[in-house]
Amino acid sequence: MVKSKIKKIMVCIFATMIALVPFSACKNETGAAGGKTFRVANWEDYIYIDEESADQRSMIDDFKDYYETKTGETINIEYTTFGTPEDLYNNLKIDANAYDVMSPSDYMIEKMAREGMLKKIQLPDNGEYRTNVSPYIESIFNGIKWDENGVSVSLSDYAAGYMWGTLGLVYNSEKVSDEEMISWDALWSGKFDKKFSIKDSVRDTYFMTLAKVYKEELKALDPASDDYNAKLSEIFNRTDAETVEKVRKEMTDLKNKSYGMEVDSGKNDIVTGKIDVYFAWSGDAVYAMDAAEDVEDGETPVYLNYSVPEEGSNVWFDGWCVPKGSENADIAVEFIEYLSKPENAIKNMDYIGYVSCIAGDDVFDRAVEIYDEEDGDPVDLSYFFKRAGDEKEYIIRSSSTVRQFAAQYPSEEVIKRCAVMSYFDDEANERINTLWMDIKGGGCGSAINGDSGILILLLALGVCVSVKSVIKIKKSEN
Amino acid sequence: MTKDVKIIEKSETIAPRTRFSFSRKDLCVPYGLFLALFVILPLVLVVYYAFTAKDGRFTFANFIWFFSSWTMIQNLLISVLIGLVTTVVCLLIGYPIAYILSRMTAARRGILLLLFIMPMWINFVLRALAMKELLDLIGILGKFNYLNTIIGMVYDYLPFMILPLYSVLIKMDKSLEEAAADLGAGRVKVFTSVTLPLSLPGIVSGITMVFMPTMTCYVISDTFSNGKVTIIGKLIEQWFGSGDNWHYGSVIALIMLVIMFISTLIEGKFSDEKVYRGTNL
Repeated sequence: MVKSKIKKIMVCIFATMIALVPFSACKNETGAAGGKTFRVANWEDYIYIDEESADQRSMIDDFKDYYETKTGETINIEYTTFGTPEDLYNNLKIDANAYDVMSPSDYMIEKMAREGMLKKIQLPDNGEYRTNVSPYIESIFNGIKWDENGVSVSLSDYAAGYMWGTLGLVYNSEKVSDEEMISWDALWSGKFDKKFSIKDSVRDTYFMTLAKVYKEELKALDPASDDYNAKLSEIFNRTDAETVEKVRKEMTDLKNKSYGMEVDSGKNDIVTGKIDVYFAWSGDAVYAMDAAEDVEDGETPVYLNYSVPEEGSNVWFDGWCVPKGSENADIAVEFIEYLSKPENAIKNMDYIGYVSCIAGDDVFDRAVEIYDEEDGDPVDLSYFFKRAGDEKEYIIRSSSTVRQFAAQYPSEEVIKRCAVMSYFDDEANERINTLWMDIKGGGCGSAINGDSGILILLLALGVCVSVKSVIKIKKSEN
Repeated sequence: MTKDVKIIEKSETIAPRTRFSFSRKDLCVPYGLFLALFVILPLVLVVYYAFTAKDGRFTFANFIWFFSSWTMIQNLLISVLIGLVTTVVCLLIGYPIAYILSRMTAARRGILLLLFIMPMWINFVLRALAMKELLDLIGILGKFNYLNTIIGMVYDYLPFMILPLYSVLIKMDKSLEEAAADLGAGRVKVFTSVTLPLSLPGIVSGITMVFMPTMTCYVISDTFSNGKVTIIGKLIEQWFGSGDNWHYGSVIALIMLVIMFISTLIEGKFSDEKVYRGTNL
């Protein structure tokens, strides 16, 4: 009797194990092939794919071959994509060895590094990344520093830049003039009510609202002074309680005036004409501009422009970094080096539309090839391309300051008024998240105004009918 | 050699019959495991997070936070309201359709029923996006966000209202209606005192299937309001995601669970034995 019980239990256990096989299949598969498994986490649509090839070969596959030829070692690559940097953070909190290399945004790299979740990466001094990275990006990375056990460390110790860009306004040139878009104020002016979109992401919208809140202070700054950018950055990184309250007021107003809050539908909404002004990351801006111009025969193209308003804006970047628990930091270094080869950087840029943190002559030549116009005004891009001891002039002639070129490579004047937004400490984070939830979930009273009449009518009708029928039923029962 | 093996095999095949005797109860082992892994365990985690602070200490602070936050209370009310309106509208549209369907000849009924069910075969996110474009064409997208959200919800959940109503109405004994008519009841009287009470179980299960999910189905509210209408489900997602506070998220989830439980209890009251009479004839 007891024996049969044990047998039964054993059978159950085996059955469960068999049932669980599909769950562990991915692990087995990699084990069977023998090599190490290298896990990459990246944003969606954020790496080159050869669309001509039959199997949609991506740069990840190319790297696998490259690594094999270089070291003779076969590796398996698990490529996953993430929706928000917070997803990465949460996953790493559960499993510190969840990935080997990943590309979160600026503030998240800083947060993870400060919380001891990242490994320092040792990129060779004469390697692809260190020789090719833009001096501008390098200075940003070096500029974000903090103390770690009494030693000063910077973001350069923990991450390698991948893509970067600015935040700005994309607008329909037929309906909106360039002059109207030189200030963030335009969105609050009432002229574009229900005709502009904002980001459904707390950091970006918070940043933009700061420009409105501290407009006067920002305008009073002198762009010619040496500490212009430092002062600007200080204003754009304010998170004190008083600031948050001011932001709350303006942000509520902004939400009510906007057409909607989005993180990916906006780039299509401006192309299809649902909105006239689109608060965008520069890469999405370029995507939208290309899409609006590239029309079928017989249709009239729409020309969209891009503006980084005068008060100042945000410069952001995504960088590759290695989680503390990873055992494949050496492969991660090879991976970063591979992506930092100028030819690969160009491929990625062409495919995804964002600008690589990699400078170098090849990248500059490519920019010239695409954008240089003989009758244009010279734009000096030395800040981005010129390395110490370099004699070459980095000038591209462009006839417009609001088109794709300006969105991809902002001029030095524009870049001066762009600030990096650093991470919020726990206290500020709580404050700003609460603000965001209030903006997102609250204010129903004022927001519902527009359609309250119809809603109340519907509800009243429904309640009347149901009450009536319930009474009837009760009556018929008696 | 081969003979030996065969003999062993034979004895093996006979043996299990007696040794492994599965009772019917054992059949629920796979589901039991599923339940434990994917229902009980997550629930335990939600309860754990709801009652702890960031440092892992036991606390009621998260609940105090929820009930002292005007945003959360307001949002909860709005979500319940959206759920209610959607349910009522679904019922108003769905009941006549289910009624008409159940009175049709079998051949026509089959085709029409298929038409109602077919949209459910297409992924609902796709349908929502298509519907959104349609609203843009009409010109109300971006103008009436709450109305659009409800249109989206009704569009998506209508089949869940029609089907239970239909299945109750089709099973209903028509001779009861005929008897009522014979005894002198007018058509309206027949409907209100025979058909409607008899279909109450269908109404209740329809309401259950529509009301509960609409309170949390934030994909619809996000799509149809361009992210401007936030229902409580979205706030849970936000706290778990960019909000970076699983404790708050869990508290909301737990409170929602309690509300769902209460609404199930209320609905259960309506479908008690007394009302069921007739359907079992």
